[in-house]
Amino acid sequence: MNLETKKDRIEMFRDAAAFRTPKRIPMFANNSTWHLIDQGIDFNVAMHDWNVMYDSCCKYHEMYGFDCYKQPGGRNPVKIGEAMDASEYIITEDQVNALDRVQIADGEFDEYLADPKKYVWEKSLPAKSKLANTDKAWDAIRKAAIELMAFQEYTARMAKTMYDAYDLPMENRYPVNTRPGFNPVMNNLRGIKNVSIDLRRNYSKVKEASLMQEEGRFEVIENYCKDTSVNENAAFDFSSGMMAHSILNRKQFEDLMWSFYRKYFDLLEKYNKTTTLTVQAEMLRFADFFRDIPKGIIVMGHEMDDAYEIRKALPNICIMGGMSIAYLGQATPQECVDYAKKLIEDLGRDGGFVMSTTKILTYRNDCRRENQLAVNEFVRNYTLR
Amino acid sequence: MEEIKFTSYPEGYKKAAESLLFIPEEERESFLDAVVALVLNQ
Repeated sequence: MNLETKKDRIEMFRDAAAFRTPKRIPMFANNSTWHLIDQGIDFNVAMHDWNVMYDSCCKYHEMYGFDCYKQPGGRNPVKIGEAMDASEYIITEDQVNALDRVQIADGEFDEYLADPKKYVWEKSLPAKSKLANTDKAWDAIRKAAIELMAFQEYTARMAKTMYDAYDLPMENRYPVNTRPGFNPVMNNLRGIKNVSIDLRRNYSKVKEASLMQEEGRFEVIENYCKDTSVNENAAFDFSSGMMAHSILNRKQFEDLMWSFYRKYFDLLEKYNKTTTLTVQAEMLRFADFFRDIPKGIIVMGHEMDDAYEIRKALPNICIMGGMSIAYLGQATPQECVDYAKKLIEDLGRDGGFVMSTTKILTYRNDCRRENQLAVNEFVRNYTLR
Repeated sequence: MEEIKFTSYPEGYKKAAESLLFIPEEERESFLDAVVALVLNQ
Protein backbone atom coordinates (compact mmCIF):
# COMPACT_ATOMS: atom_id res chain seq x y z
CA MET A 1 0.00 0.00 0.00
CA ASN A 2 1.45 3.33 -1.03
CA LEU A 3 0.79 5.94 1.64
CA GLU A 4 2.61 8.81 -0.03
CA THR A 5 0.58 11.97 -0.35
CA LYS A 6 0.25 14.50 -3.14
CA LYS A 7 2.49 16.79 -1.12
CA ASP A 8 5.18 14.07 -0.90
CA ARG A 9 5.04 13.48 -4.65
CA ILE A 10 5.20 17.18 -5.51
CA GLU A 11 8.23 17.53 -3.24
CA MET A 12 9.97 14.66 -5.06
CA PHE A 13 9.30 16.18 -8.48
CA ARG A 14 10.39 19.62 -7.28
CA ASP A 15 13.56 18.22 -5.70
CA ALA A 16 14.42 16.33 -8.87
CA ALA A 17 13.84 19.42 -11.03
CA ALA A 18 16.04 21.56 -8.75
CA PHE A 19 18.89 19.00 -8.55
CA ARG A 20 18.30 18.25 -4.87
CA THR A 21 18.37 14.61 -3.79
CA PRO A 22 14.73 13.50 -3.64
CA LYS A 23 13.42 11.06 -1.04
CA ARG A 24 13.17 8.64 -3.97
CA ILE A 25 13.03 9.09 -7.73
CA PRO A 26 9.53 10.18 -8.83
CA MET A 27 7.84 8.18 -11.60
CA PHE A 28 6.09 9.93 -14.48
CA ALA A 29 3.73 7.90 -16.69
CA ASN A 30 4.33 8.67 -20.34
CA ASN A 31 1.51 6.52 -21.67
CA SER A 32 -0.98 7.08 -24.43
CA THR A 33 -2.78 3.87 -25.33
CA TRP A 34 -0.60 0.98 -24.16
CA HIS A 35 -2.75 0.59 -21.03
CA LEU A 36 -5.72 -0.30 -23.26
CA ILE A 37 -3.75 -3.18 -24.79
CA ASP A 38 -2.61 -4.21 -21.32
CA GLN A 39 -6.24 -4.45 -20.24
CA GLY A 40 -7.53 -6.10 -23.46
CA ILE A 41 -9.74 -3.14 -24.39
CA ASP A 42 -10.55 -2.50 -28.06
CA PHE A 43 -9.33 1.01 -29.03
CA ASN A 44 -12.54 1.63 -30.97
CA VAL A 45 -14.56 1.05 -27.81
CA ALA A 46 -12.40 3.16 -25.45
CA MET A 47 -12.10 6.08 -27.87
CA HIS A 48 -15.87 6.25 -28.30
CA ASP A 49 -16.87 5.91 -24.67
CA TRP A 50 -15.35 8.21 -22.05
CA ASN A 51 -16.59 5.95 -19.24
CA VAL A 52 -14.53 3.07 -20.62
CA MET A 53 -11.49 5.34 -20.97
CA TYR A 54 -11.98 6.69 -17.44
CA ASP A 55 -12.21 3.19 -15.92
CA SER A 56 -9.12 2.05 -17.87
CA CYS A 57 -7.05 4.98 -16.57
CA CYS A 58 -8.14 4.33 -12.99
CA LYS A 59 -7.22 0.67 -13.35
CA TYR A 60 -3.87 1.63 -14.88
CA HIS A 61 -3.02 3.74 -11.85
CA GLU A 62 -4.27 1.13 -9.39
CA MET A 63 -2.02 -1.48 -11.04
CA TYR A 64 1.17 0.52 -11.55
CA GLY A 65 1.02 3.44 -9.12
CA PHE A 66 2.93 6.15 -10.98
CA ASP A 67 3.31 9.52 -9.25
CA CYS A 68 1.90 11.60 -12.10
CA TYR A 69 0.22 10.94 -15.48
CA LYS A 70 0.49 12.82 -18.75
CA GLN A 71 -2.99 13.54 -20.18
CA PRO A 72 -4.57 10.32 -18.85
CA GLY A 73 -6.76 9.00 -21.64
CA GLY A 74 -7.15 12.40 -23.27
CA ARG A 75 -4.77 12.40 -26.21
CA ASN A 76 -7.21 11.34 -28.91
CA PRO A 77 -10.67 12.96 -28.63
CA VAL A 78 -11.72 11.43 -31.95
CA LYS A 79 -15.47 11.99 -31.60
CA ILE A 80 -15.17 15.77 -32.08
CA GLY A 81 -13.80 15.39 -35.59
CA GLU A 82 -16.09 12.46 -36.36
CA ALA A 83 -19.14 14.64 -35.64
CA MET A 84 -18.08 16.76 -38.65
CA ASP A 85 -17.09 13.67 -40.66
CA ALA A 86 -13.56 15.04 -40.51
CA SER A 87 -11.56 12.53 -38.54
CA GLU A 88 -8.04 11.88 -39.76
CA TYR A 89 -7.47 8.97 -37.41
CA ILE A 90 -7.12 5.37 -38.44
CA ILE A 91 -8.27 3.30 -35.49
CA THR A 92 -7.98 -0.46 -35.25
CA GLU A 93 -8.51 -2.84 -32.35
CA ASP A 94 -5.07 -2.07 -30.90
CA GLN A 95 -3.70 0.94 -32.79
CA VAL A 96 -4.52 4.57 -33.47
CA ASN A 97 -2.63 6.53 -36.10
CA ALA A 98 -3.07 10.12 -37.28
CA LEU A 99 -2.53 11.30 -40.84
CA ASP A 100 -0.38 14.32 -41.75
CA ARG A 101 -2.51 17.44 -41.36
CA VAL A 102 -2.67 20.26 -43.87
CA GLN A 103 -4.87 23.31 -43.28
CA ILE A 104 -3.26 25.81 -45.65
CA ALA A 105 -3.29 24.68 -49.26
CA ASP A 106 -0.29 25.22 -51.53
CA GLY A 107 0.00 28.83 -52.69
CA GLU A 108 -2.50 30.17 -50.12
CA PHE A 109 -0.19 31.37 -47.35
CA ASP A 110 -1.04 35.03 -48.10
CA GLU A 111 -4.75 34.36 -47.92
CA TYR A 112 -4.32 32.68 -44.54
CA LEU A 113 -2.06 35.41 -43.18
CA ALA A 114 -4.52 38.14 -44.26
CA ASP A 115 -7.33 36.70 -42.09
CA PRO A 116 -6.65 33.34 -40.41
CA LYS A 117 -10.14 32.94 -38.94
CA LYS A 118 -11.81 33.59 -42.27
CA TYR A 119 -9.43 31.23 -44.06
CA VAL A 120 -9.91 28.43 -41.55
CA TRP A 121 -13.70 28.74 -41.70
CA GLU A 122 -14.06 29.12 -45.45
CA LYS A 123 -11.19 26.91 -46.63
CA SER A 124 -9.65 24.62 -44.00
CA LEU A 125 -12.86 23.35 -42.47
CA PRO A 126 -14.63 22.53 -45.78
CA ALA A 127 -11.45 20.89 -47.09
CA LYS A 128 -11.49 18.48 -44.19
CA SER A 129 -15.15 18.08 -43.27
CA LYS A 130 -17.27 16.19 -45.74
CA LEU A 131 -20.36 17.83 -44.22
CA ALA A 132 -19.32 21.51 -44.29
CA ASN A 133 -20.80 22.13 -47.74
CA THR A 134 -24.06 20.32 -47.02
CA ASP A 135 -27.20 21.31 -45.14
CA LYS A 136 -26.14 18.88 -42.41
CA ALA A 137 -23.28 21.18 -41.37
CA TRP A 138 -25.36 23.21 -38.90
CA ASP A 139 -26.35 20.12 -36.96
CA ALA A 140 -22.88 18.61 -37.26
CA ILE A 141 -21.10 21.61 -35.72
CA ARG A 142 -23.51 21.51 -32.77
CA LYS A 143 -22.79 17.81 -32.31
CA ALA A 144 -19.04 18.52 -32.44
CA ALA A 145 -19.51 21.20 -29.76
CA ILE A 146 -21.41 18.72 -27.57
CA GLU A 147 -18.53 16.24 -28.04
CA LEU A 148 -16.07 18.94 -26.94
CA MET A 149 -18.16 19.49 -23.81
CA ALA A 150 -18.11 15.73 -23.15
CA PHE A 151 -14.33 15.73 -23.57
CA GLN A 152 -13.97 18.66 -21.17
CA GLU A 153 -16.18 16.87 -18.64
CA TYR A 154 -14.02 13.75 -18.99
CA THR A 155 -10.74 15.61 -18.46
CA ALA A 156 -12.16 17.46 -15.44
CA ARG A 157 -13.48 14.23 -13.94
CA MET A 158 -10.22 12.40 -14.60
CA ALA A 159 -8.16 15.24 -13.10
CA LYS A 160 -10.39 15.37 -10.01
CA THR A 161 -10.04 11.61 -9.50
CA MET A 162 -6.27 11.73 -9.89
CA TYR A 163 -6.07 14.72 -7.59
CA ASP A 164 -8.61 13.83 -4.89
CA ALA A 165 -9.09 10.06 -4.91
CA TYR A 166 -5.52 9.02 -5.77
CA ASP A 167 -3.73 12.00 -4.17
CA LEU A 168 -1.62 12.66 -7.26
CA PRO A 169 -0.36 15.97 -8.62
CA MET A 170 -1.21 17.23 -12.09
CA GLU A 171 1.68 17.56 -14.53
CA ASN A 172 1.58 21.33 -14.84
CA ARG A 173 0.00 24.08 -12.88
CA TYR A 174 -0.83 26.69 -15.51
CA PRO A 175 -3.05 25.93 -18.54
CA VAL A 176 -1.31 27.96 -21.23
CA ASN A 177 0.20 27.16 -24.62
CA THR A 178 3.99 27.36 -24.25
CA ARG A 179 5.16 26.01 -27.60
CA PRO A 180 6.80 28.04 -30.37
CA GLY A 181 4.54 29.11 -33.22
CA PHE A 182 6.47 27.00 -35.70
CA ASN A 183 5.17 23.92 -33.91
CA PRO A 184 1.56 24.28 -35.16
CA VAL A 185 2.78 25.64 -38.51
CA MET A 186 4.45 22.29 -39.16
CA ASN A 187 2.17 19.95 -37.30
CA ASN A 188 -1.20 21.48 -38.12
CA LEU A 189 -1.13 24.20 -40.76
CA ARG A 190 1.16 22.82 -43.46
CA GLY A 191 2.17 19.29 -42.50
CA ILE A 192 5.72 17.99 -42.38
CA LYS A 193 6.01 17.38 -46.13
CA ASN A 194 4.78 20.80 -47.24
CA VAL A 195 6.61 22.81 -44.60
CA SER A 196 9.87 21.12 -45.56
CA ILE A 197 9.48 22.66 -49.02
CA ASP A 198 8.18 25.97 -47.59
CA LEU A 199 11.36 26.39 -45.58
CA ARG A 200 13.26 26.71 -48.86
CA ARG A 201 10.67 28.40 -51.05
CA ASN A 202 8.57 30.56 -48.69
CA TYR A 203 10.67 31.08 -45.59
CA SER A 204 9.33 34.56 -44.84
CA LYS A 205 5.76 33.24 -44.88
CA VAL A 206 6.69 30.40 -42.53
CA LYS A 207 8.22 32.95 -40.17
CA GLU A 208 5.23 35.26 -40.41
CA ALA A 209 2.78 32.43 -39.74
CA SER A 210 4.90 31.24 -36.80
CA LEU A 211 5.02 34.67 -35.18
CA MET A 212 1.29 35.03 -35.70
CA GLN A 213 0.68 31.93 -33.56
CA GLU A 214 2.76 33.46 -30.75
CA GLU A 215 0.96 36.82 -30.58
CA GLY A 216 0.07 37.78 -27.01
CA ARG A 217 1.51 34.53 -25.66
CA PHE A 218 4.23 35.98 -23.42
CA GLU A 219 1.85 38.37 -21.72
CA VAL A 220 -0.30 35.39 -20.71
CA ILE A 221 2.71 33.35 -19.57
CA GLU A 222 4.10 36.24 -17.54
CA ASN A 223 0.76 36.81 -15.84
CA TYR A 224 0.81 33.18 -14.68
CA CYS A 225 4.46 33.58 -13.66
CA LYS A 226 3.46 36.39 -11.31
CA ASP A 227 1.39 33.95 -9.25
CA THR A 228 3.28 33.67 -5.96
CA SER A 229 0.96 31.25 -4.17
CA VAL A 230 2.41 27.97 -2.93
CA ASN A 231 2.21 25.14 -5.42
CA GLU A 232 -0.07 22.51 -3.96
CA ASN A 233 -1.42 20.82 -7.04
CA ALA A 234 1.17 20.14 -9.73
CA ALA A 235 4.53 18.47 -10.24
CA PHE A 236 5.77 21.39 -12.38
CA ASP A 237 4.60 24.90 -13.28
CA PHE A 238 4.36 24.80 -17.07
CA SER A 239 4.39 22.15 -19.76
CA SER A 240 6.04 22.76 -23.13
CA GLY A 241 7.16 20.74 -26.11
CA MET A 242 9.77 20.71 -28.84
CA MET A 243 8.00 18.93 -31.66
CA ALA A 244 9.05 20.56 -34.90
CA HIS A 245 12.84 20.97 -34.79
CA SER A 246 13.80 17.72 -36.48
CA ILE A 247 13.51 19.17 -40.01
CA LEU A 248 15.31 22.45 -39.20
CA ASN A 249 18.95 23.36 -39.60
CA ARG A 250 20.62 25.28 -36.75
CA LYS A 251 20.02 28.71 -38.24
CA GLN A 252 16.35 27.94 -38.83
CA PHE A 253 16.00 26.52 -35.32
CA GLU A 254 17.49 29.65 -33.81
CA ASP A 255 15.20 31.89 -35.82
CA LEU A 256 11.95 29.92 -35.66
CA MET A 257 12.08 28.14 -32.31
CA TRP A 258 14.94 29.27 -30.08
CA SER A 259 13.79 32.89 -30.33
CA PHE A 260 10.63 31.74 -28.52
CA TYR A 261 12.29 29.40 -26.03
CA ARG A 262 14.89 32.00 -25.03
CA LYS A 263 12.18 34.48 -23.97
CA TYR A 264 10.20 31.68 -22.32
CA PHE A 265 13.13 30.35 -20.29
CA ASP A 266 14.15 33.90 -19.30
CA LEU A 267 10.67 34.45 -17.89
CA LEU A 268 10.81 31.18 -15.97
CA GLU A 269 14.20 32.10 -14.55
CA LYS A 270 12.99 35.57 -13.55
CA TYR A 271 10.01 34.12 -11.66
CA ASN A 272 11.64 30.88 -10.45
CA LYS A 273 9.29 28.55 -12.35
CA THR A 274 9.79 25.11 -13.89
CA THR A 275 8.65 23.63 -17.17
CA THR A 276 8.60 20.21 -18.72
CA LEU A 277 9.93 20.18 -22.27
CA THR A 278 8.81 17.09 -24.17
CA VAL A 279 11.20 16.59 -27.06
CA GLN A 280 10.29 14.60 -30.13
CA ALA A 281 13.06 12.84 -32.10
CA GLU A 282 16.68 13.97 -31.44
CA MET A 283 17.81 17.28 -29.98
CA LEU A 284 21.51 17.00 -29.12
CA ARG A 285 22.62 18.87 -32.26
CA PHE A 286 20.91 21.89 -30.66
CA ALA A 287 22.28 21.23 -27.16
CA ASP A 288 24.55 24.28 -27.05
CA PHE A 289 21.53 26.60 -27.21
CA PHE A 290 20.39 25.21 -23.84
CA ARG A 291 23.75 25.20 -22.04
CA ASP A 292 23.40 28.47 -20.13
CA ILE A 293 19.89 27.84 -18.86
CA PRO A 294 20.22 27.60 -15.05
CA LYS A 295 19.46 24.37 -13.24
CA GLY A 296 15.92 24.09 -11.96
CA ILE A 297 14.13 25.45 -15.04
CA ILE A 298 13.83 22.63 -17.60
CA VAL A 299 12.68 19.04 -17.08
CA MET A 300 13.29 17.39 -20.44
CA GLY A 301 11.39 14.39 -21.73
CA HIS A 302 13.57 12.81 -24.41
CA GLU A 303 12.83 10.38 -27.21
CA MET A 304 15.71 9.42 -29.52
CA ASP A 305 18.65 10.81 -27.56
CA ASP A 306 20.37 8.66 -24.95
CA ALA A 307 19.88 9.91 -21.37
CA TYR A 308 23.60 9.61 -20.62
CA GLU A 309 24.49 11.68 -23.69
CA ILE A 310 22.02 14.35 -22.60
CA ARG A 311 23.50 14.48 -19.08
CA LYS A 312 26.98 14.82 -20.57
CA ALA A 313 25.98 17.60 -22.96
CA LEU A 314 23.49 19.33 -20.66
CA PRO A 315 24.30 18.84 -16.97
CA ASN A 316 21.95 21.76 -16.23
CA ILE A 317 18.82 19.97 -17.49
CA CYS A 318 16.72 17.58 -15.41
CA ILE A 319 16.06 14.45 -17.48
CA MET A 320 12.60 12.89 -17.47
CA GLY A 321 12.90 9.51 -19.15
CA GLY A 322 15.83 7.13 -19.25
CA MET A 323 13.87 3.89 -19.41
CA SER A 324 13.78 2.81 -23.03
CA ILE A 325 10.95 0.78 -24.53
CA ALA A 326 13.60 -1.67 -25.75
CA TYR A 327 13.97 -2.67 -22.09
CA LEU A 328 10.33 -2.47 -21.10
CA GLY A 329 9.16 -4.32 -24.20
CA GLN A 330 11.83 -6.95 -24.66
CA ALA A 331 14.04 -7.47 -21.59
CA THR A 332 13.32 -9.51 -18.46
CA PRO A 333 11.96 -7.93 -15.27
CA GLN A 334 15.34 -8.30 -13.58
CA GLU A 335 17.16 -6.68 -16.51
CA CYS A 336 14.69 -3.76 -16.35
CA VAL A 337 15.18 -3.37 -12.60
CA ASP A 338 18.96 -3.49 -12.97
CA TYR A 339 18.78 -0.78 -15.61
CA ALA A 340 16.41 1.32 -13.48
CA LYS A 341 18.88 1.09 -10.59
CA LYS A 342 21.75 2.12 -12.87
CA LEU A 343 19.78 5.11 -14.15
CA ILE A 344 18.97 6.25 -10.61
CA GLU A 345 22.52 5.86 -9.35
CA ASP A 346 24.14 7.45 -12.41
CA LEU A 347 21.65 10.22 -13.15
CA GLY A 348 19.43 10.81 -10.12
CA ARG A 349 21.21 10.49 -6.80
CA ASP A 350 21.89 14.24 -6.69
CA GLY A 351 18.56 15.14 -8.26
CA GLY A 352 18.07 15.97 -11.92
CA PHE A 353 16.26 12.79 -12.91
CA VAL A 354 12.63 11.65 -13.14
CA MET A 355 11.96 8.04 -14.10
CA SER A 356 9.86 7.79 -17.27
CA THR A 357 9.93 6.18 -20.69
CA THR A 358 11.78 7.50 -23.72
CA LYS A 359 8.73 7.15 -25.92
CA ILE A 360 5.02 7.47 -25.25
CA LEU A 361 3.77 3.97 -24.52
CA THR A 362 1.43 3.38 -27.42
CA TYR A 363 1.86 0.02 -29.11
CA ARG A 364 1.71 -3.59 -27.98
CA ASN A 365 5.47 -4.19 -28.02
CA ASP A 366 6.35 -0.98 -26.17
CA CYS A 367 6.02 -2.61 -22.77
CA ARG A 368 5.36 -5.82 -20.88
CA ARG A 369 3.20 -5.77 -17.79
CA GLU A 370 5.66 -7.72 -15.63
CA ASN A 371 8.47 -5.34 -16.56
CA GLN A 372 6.57 -2.16 -15.70
CA LEU A 373 5.35 -3.66 -12.45
CA ALA A 374 8.89 -4.70 -11.48
CA VAL A 375 10.41 -1.30 -12.32
CA ASN A 376 7.76 0.67 -10.44
CA GLU A 377 7.94 -1.60 -7.41
CA PHE A 378 11.71 -1.18 -7.35
CA VAL A 379 11.71 2.61 -7.81
CA ARG A 380 8.96 3.08 -5.21
CA ASN A 381 11.06 1.31 -2.57
CA TYR A 382 14.54 2.56 -3.53
CA THR A 383 14.96 5.49 -1.19
CA LEU A 384 17.80 7.97 -1.60
CA ARG A 385 17.64 9.73 1.74
CA MET B 1 -34.18 36.76 -47.66
CA GLU B 2 -31.07 34.99 -48.93
CA GLU B 3 -30.15 31.85 -47.04
CA ILE B 4 -26.85 31.99 -45.16
CA LYS B 5 -24.28 29.48 -46.37
CA PHE B 6 -22.48 27.56 -43.59
CA THR B 7 -19.07 28.09 -45.11
CA SER B 8 -19.40 31.88 -45.46
CA TYR B 9 -17.45 34.17 -43.14
CA PRO B 10 -18.44 35.94 -41.02
CA GLU B 11 -22.15 35.22 -41.70
CA GLY B 12 -22.05 31.40 -41.52
CA TYR B 13 -19.55 31.47 -38.70
CA LYS B 14 -21.67 33.82 -36.60
CA LYS B 15 -24.84 31.82 -37.25
CA ALA B 16 -23.02 28.61 -36.25
CA ALA B 17 -21.84 30.28 -33.04
CA GLU B 18 -25.35 31.53 -32.29
CA SER B 19 -26.69 27.99 -32.64
CA LEU B 20 -24.63 26.83 -29.65
CA LEU B 21 -27.46 27.67 -27.28
CA PHE B 22 -26.05 25.45 -24.52
CA ILE B 23 -23.00 27.74 -24.25
CA PRO B 24 -23.27 31.17 -22.54
CA GLU B 25 -23.75 33.81 -25.22
CA GLU B 26 -20.50 35.68 -24.55
CA GLU B 27 -18.46 32.46 -24.85
CA ARG B 28 -20.02 31.01 -28.00
CA GLU B 29 -17.50 32.29 -30.54
CA SER B 30 -14.47 31.27 -28.50
CA PHE B 31 -16.05 27.87 -27.88
CA LEU B 32 -16.72 27.49 -31.62
CA ASP B 33 -13.07 28.37 -32.28
CA ALA B 34 -12.04 25.60 -29.87
CA VAL B 35 -14.35 23.13 -31.63
CA VAL B 36 -12.95 24.02 -35.04
CA ALA B 37 -9.38 23.78 -33.75
CA LEU B 38 -10.02 20.27 -32.47
CA VAL B 39 -11.88 19.20 -35.62
CA LEU B 40 -8.85 20.31 -37.62
CA ASN B 41 -6.01 19.46 -35.25
CA GLN B 42 -7.18 16.80 -32.82
